[in-house]
Order: sequence, then structure tokens, then C-alpha cells
Amino acid sequence: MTRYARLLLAYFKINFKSLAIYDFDFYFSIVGMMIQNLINVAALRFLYLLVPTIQGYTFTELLTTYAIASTSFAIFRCFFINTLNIADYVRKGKFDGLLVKPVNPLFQLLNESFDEDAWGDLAISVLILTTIAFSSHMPLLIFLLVLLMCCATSLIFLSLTLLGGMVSLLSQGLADLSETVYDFFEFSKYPLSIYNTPLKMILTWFLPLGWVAAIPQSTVIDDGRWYFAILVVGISVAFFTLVYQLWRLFLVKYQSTGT
Amino acid sequence: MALIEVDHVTKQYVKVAKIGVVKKKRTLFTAVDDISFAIEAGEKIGIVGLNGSGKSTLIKMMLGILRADNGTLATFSGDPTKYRQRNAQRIGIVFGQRSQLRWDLPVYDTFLLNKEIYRISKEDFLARVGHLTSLLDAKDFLQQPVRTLSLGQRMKAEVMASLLHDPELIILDEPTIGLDVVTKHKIVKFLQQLEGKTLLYTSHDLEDVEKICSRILILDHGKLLTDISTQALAKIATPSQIEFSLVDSANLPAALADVGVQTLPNGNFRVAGLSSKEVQDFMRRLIATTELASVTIANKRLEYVISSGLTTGGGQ
Amino acid sequence: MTLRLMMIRIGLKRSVANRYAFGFYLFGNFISIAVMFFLWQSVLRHRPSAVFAETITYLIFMQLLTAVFPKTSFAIHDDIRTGNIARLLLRPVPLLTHYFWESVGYSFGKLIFIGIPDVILLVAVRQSALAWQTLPLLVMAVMLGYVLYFELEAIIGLFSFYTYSIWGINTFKAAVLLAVSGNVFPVNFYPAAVKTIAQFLPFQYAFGAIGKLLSQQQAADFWPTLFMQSLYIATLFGVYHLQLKIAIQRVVVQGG
Repeated sequence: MTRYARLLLAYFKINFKSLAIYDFDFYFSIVGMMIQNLINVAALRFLYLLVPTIQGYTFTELLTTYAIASTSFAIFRCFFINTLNIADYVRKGKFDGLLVKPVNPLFQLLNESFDEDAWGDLAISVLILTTIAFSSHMPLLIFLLVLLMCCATSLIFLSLTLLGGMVSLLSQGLADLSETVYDFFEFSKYPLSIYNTPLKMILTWFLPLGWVAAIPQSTVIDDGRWYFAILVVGISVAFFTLVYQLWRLFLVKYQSTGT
Repeated sequence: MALIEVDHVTKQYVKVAKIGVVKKKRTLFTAVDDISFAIEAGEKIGIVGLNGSGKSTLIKMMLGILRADNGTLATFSGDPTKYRQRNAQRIGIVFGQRSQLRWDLPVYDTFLLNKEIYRISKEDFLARVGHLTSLLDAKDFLQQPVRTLSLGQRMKAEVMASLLHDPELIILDEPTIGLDVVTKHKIVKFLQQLEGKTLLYTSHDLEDVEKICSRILILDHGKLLTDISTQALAKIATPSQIEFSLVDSANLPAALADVGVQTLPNGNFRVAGLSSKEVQDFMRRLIATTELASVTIANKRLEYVISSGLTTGGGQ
Repeated sequence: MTLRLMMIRIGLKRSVANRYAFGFYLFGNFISIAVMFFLWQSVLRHRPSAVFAETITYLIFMQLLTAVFPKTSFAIHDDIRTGNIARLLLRPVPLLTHYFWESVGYSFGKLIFIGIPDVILLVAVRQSALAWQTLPLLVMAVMLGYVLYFELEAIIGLFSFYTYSIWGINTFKAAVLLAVSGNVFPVNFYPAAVKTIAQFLPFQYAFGAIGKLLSQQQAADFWPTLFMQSLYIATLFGVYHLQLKIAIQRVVVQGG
């Protein structure tokens, strides 16, 4: 365990060094992402100029859901984004390079590259969350639980991306299902009550996107049922573990067919 | 037990080709065809063959990246696919075509990362970096970003990176492709001097291999043509080819007309398929009857060995 | 003329080669549409159903345009990175022409693989009848919008002369489009202030303004939009050429 911790530190150092060489496109990226985040908030506000409540939810409540989802996704984008490139790694032959090292290949894959420009997005998301917490007098414990849940639910996005990458490689498609994680993020931004029943079922039990923001919001924050946080973390970890087993199977298959 | 044991190993791929708009044709392509050999610790082995001969597939199976369809492999006395990550600690690899260095950062930073990946102690790390730097003459560019390096510098860096953890088994897959003569010579000399390591060197350049390795495996279309010591190989008589140009070009003396000399588009002349005795005779006659501007004697040993279908001759 | 047709064919062939990628894209497309469907259904539940139908039709149409519109900035970026741009500049065909007609071919392929499913969805959801008499004008608006967006992409692509990557600029562009083009949030529902600003910027004329035309019945309603589109096309064309000139001068001087 300490070994992987030290390795993590080494990866962090090397990834942040890359930061120093970025040109103005990098800053455009940070600003662009932050603006997008804020515009999403503005869009929500505009919606509420049309109606007072949406499915019984006020603007603050909807904003909270959005902020939680946004934070979770930003964490995913900051640290786990390199999984989007699995298919690319395999096609370019870089994947073998991961397999011949004495370190877990998935761990290497995640760490080989961070999305440094997503840090602005993360900052904004956390800022919005903190602002809401203050103005709605959210208990500190609840707030910390929310942050914890965001860390855990980012694993859901990671798992979906992994699945997408594996699917596209196994089907030898010329495409990447891993990009669809951005569309899945859309699902997670809103309360589950806006969807019809079949979709609600899917988002709760099949693709657990409802657990990213909608469920934490309605249980932990609205009802104050803090113990749901344990369930949220549990489901996230369980889903990831499930996908990780599929990943191990994938590695076995990879060894028998190469690309 | 041998360091690496390969026993009747076969690997096949399914190649899918499109015919027309929808239909597909599946053909079975045999990359490695019933190959067996063993490598002892400390040996320096060359694996040679033309493109598509199965070299890379074989290496991947020894590394555990690929699983054999038939037969068994053992690397460090264990199934390589099962112990892949564990074996990785004892293996150093250079893929000539793919880099393991971080593109945008100085070489030294990749070294530092490798230090953590391979759990190298600080003292060992500094000592080995220093040692390798002087052996490969790499002091000047270690702090430069990889993307600014020439191919030769990059290859030196790759070799260094693969040796930092002092691996017992070193695998180099086409490391000299595209290198300039000076760098190639340096790397070849470095590999010649390596002691106490097991080396697997693949290339389609037989001359390099002969300089470094003591034993050569020649592959062709997935089959092991021959497993032979370097000394024995060098003794095999292969036909030579002489290409020459004359000071007073255009006209070839009638005396040489019987040998079947070809005239090339650039004005040079060529004579092929000569045994070593015939080479001697021809050269004598050539020098006697003409004034030479230039002459080259070449020996396409590998092609000859493969095309003449030399089967296992065993060791010396 | 044949040269242009050839370039279109190349683009079309490329898109056929990528048709599996489009399948996955379509999947993502449907997800976005599904989310928007349910969201706006909840928002507009107290309004007449025609409003919702109109809104969702608009949104699906926007998704279609987003899917089919060219991603020329990346093509230009790749050519600049690989140095291929030098070869293209030496050809007797203007740079813009080269990219434009190939993208037309490629977009046509996207129209077939992604556009048709979207159109089917659109027709299924639409309540009011299609205004056949204004259809040609609508098509024209789409084509003008295409050209306009293409020019935007070309201008962004040229930035590759100055930076190593254009991901950031593209992210920024996406943010701007999100804000004022009406590609995700219907222009009709913008607050008055934003609506006014958006009207003066070119971005709406590639997306939102065209979407609004879907519900117009009279030909006369089309002309203002078509006029603004043409105006901006001309303006952006000028901007592009200026930028190209500056970029080439810089490269020639520096030898980058």
C-alpha cells in the first residue's frame, strides 16, 4: 500500500511538471471549462424564470443537485480522465508498455495523465457547493459527507468510461464508447423524479447515475438521513469493483488475441 | 531450469478481410508455428528474421502479454501470463518502435518515475544513472525534453531507462532501426560489454546480431529455421555479390563477359552468386583487366540462409 | 466543378469508413435528447402541449445540426502539426476550398447515419404540420448556417499556428456557443437581456435562429435571418483571410 502511495506521489510530481510547459491554449481551456460550468448554473436560473418549481424542486435544490454532480464529474475529469484513452493506447501499442511494468496497469493508466485544466472546473463546482451550503445553513457533517460522496461517485464515471473503452475494443469498433460518459453526466445532473419510471429504474439499478447526485440530494440533504451516505459510497465502490472484474477478464482476453 | 523455456509453442491470429460491402472472410494466420528452444541465464541470444517472421509475437509471449494457443512457455520458471507483473521486476525492455519515455518532459524525470515503479533505492539509482551515462555518453541531454532529442539520443535514453532497475533479463526489440552509424556503434559496443545478464536481441540486421550475440535463432514465417551459434553461422558459405564501377566506364572487357555481369542503371556493374573461391578468381581477373573506380563485395547472409531453407543445425 | 465533386466524394468515403463511430455518437445523441425531453417536459408541464412539442422539436433539430456540422478546426490543426499544411498551401486550390468540400462530403455521410434517425425522431415528436412551402427556405438557412459555422471552425483551426493544441480554444468556443447560440438552451426562453446580446453575435445564426425558423409559416419571416447569416458569412470570410495572411507571414519569417 505504501508503495502505491509513493508511486502516486511520483506520478503527481511528474504530471504537474508537465503543467509548466503549457501555452495559452491551456489557460483558454481552464477558463472555458469554468465558464461552461457557470453557464450551466445560469441556464438553471433561466429555467426558474419560466416556472417556480420543477417537479416540486426549488431552484436551490436543483442547483444543489447540479453542483454535486458537477463536483463528482470534475473529480473524475481531474484524476481519472486518462481512461478515455484506453482504445487509443491499445491501437498505438502503448498498452503493452503498461503490461510489462511491475505495477497494476489500470493504476498506471489513470496516472499517466491528468486533466490539469479541469481543476478550474473542480474549483468552481466546490465553490458553488460551498456557497449553497452556507446560504442554506447546511450542517458541517452533511457538507463533509457530500464531499465524501462526490469522491466515491466519481468512481461511477470511471467505471462507465472503462466499460465504454472495453466495449469499443472488444467489438473492434472504429469508435469510442468511452466518450459517452459526457452524455451520461447529463443524466446525473437532475433529480430522478423528472424521468419516467423505466428510466428511473435503469438509473438506479443498472447504470447507477442516480446515485451520483439525485439520491444523495433527496436523502442526505433534504431528509437529513446521513446514513444514506454509506449506501452511496457502498454502491459506488461495488459498481467499480464489478467493472474492475470485467476489466480483469478483458485483460485475459487481450492476452489471447493481442489487438 | 532454464531462464526461458519455449516448448512447441504456436500462436495464430484470425485475420478478417472485407469482401464487398458486407461479407467478411476470416483467415487463420499462423504467427508462431511450433517453436521450441531454451535460454539459459547469461546467454546473449539474437532473434532474427524478416518482417512478419513472428519475432515480436514470440517476445510478447515470453513477456506474458500474449498467451500461446498451444504449447507451454516458462519465464523465470513460471507461466509468464500468470506472473507477468512479478516477472516485470526482473525484465528490462526496449521497444524500438515505441517509447516508454514521457514525451514532454526531460529524460531524467522518466528515470525518477521508473525509480518508484521498480522500487530502486536512491543509492542504486544514482550509481546506475551515473554509470550508464558515462558508458553511453549521455550526459548532455538528460535534462532536455524528450521531444527535442534526436532519434539516437532518444534510443540511448530508452536503453538507460530499461536498465535502471538492473534487470536479469534484457529484451531489445529492434533498437537500432533508423539510427545513425555512430550511435548504433555505441549501443552495439555497450551491449557487447554487458556481463552477467541474459540478453534477447531482435533485429532484421544480421550483422549487428553477430557482433553482440553468441547464439542466433532464425525465424521465417513463424517457424524456427535454425538455432545456431554465431561461430557456426559465420562459417556457412553464402554466395557473395560484387558491384564495381570502372574509371573508363561503359566498356566491359570481353575477358569478363563469360561471368554474366549485369549493367546497372547508374553505370555500375554487378556480378552475383559467387562462392568465395569464385570471388577470388573474379577479383584477380577484374584487377588484371580493368582500372577500377570503386568496388563493393557484399554478402546477403540472412536472406540466403532463409531462402535456402536451412533447418536446425544445432549448436557448434 | 469535378474537383469539388471529387473532394466531396473523399469526404463521403471517410464518413462511411467511420460509420461505427457514428453509431456510438448517435447513442450519445439520444441520451442528450432523452434528458432534455424529460427536463423540458417538467418545466413546461403547465403550458399548452404545443409549446413543449415546439421546444423539443427545436432541441432535436439543434442536436442534428451539432452532429452534422463540420469539425474543421481539428483537421486544420492536424495538418499544421504534421506540416502537411505546407503542401496544401502550395496547391492551386485555395486552402478553404479544400477543407470545405471535403467537410461537405463528410457531413453528408453524417447526415445519413446520424441525421436520418434524428429526423425520424423529430417528425415523431412534432405536433404542428410541416410547412412545405417554406421548406426550401429552411434548407437554405441550414446551408448558410453550415457555411457560417465552417468559417468559425476555420478561424479557430488557424490558431494552431500559434499554439501546440487547440483543445482549450475549442472548449472556450463550446462555452460561448452554450451561452449565446441557442444550441442547448432555446433562444426563445432567454431572458430579454441575453436575447438582445445574442442577436448581435454571429453564433446564433448557425443554430438558434435556424431553430426558430422551424415554427415559422410565412416566407417573409425567413428573410431577416437569411440576411444576417449572409452578412456574417461575409464578415467571417474577411476575418479568416486576414488571419491566414498574418499566420503565413509569421511562419515564413520564423520558419516554424
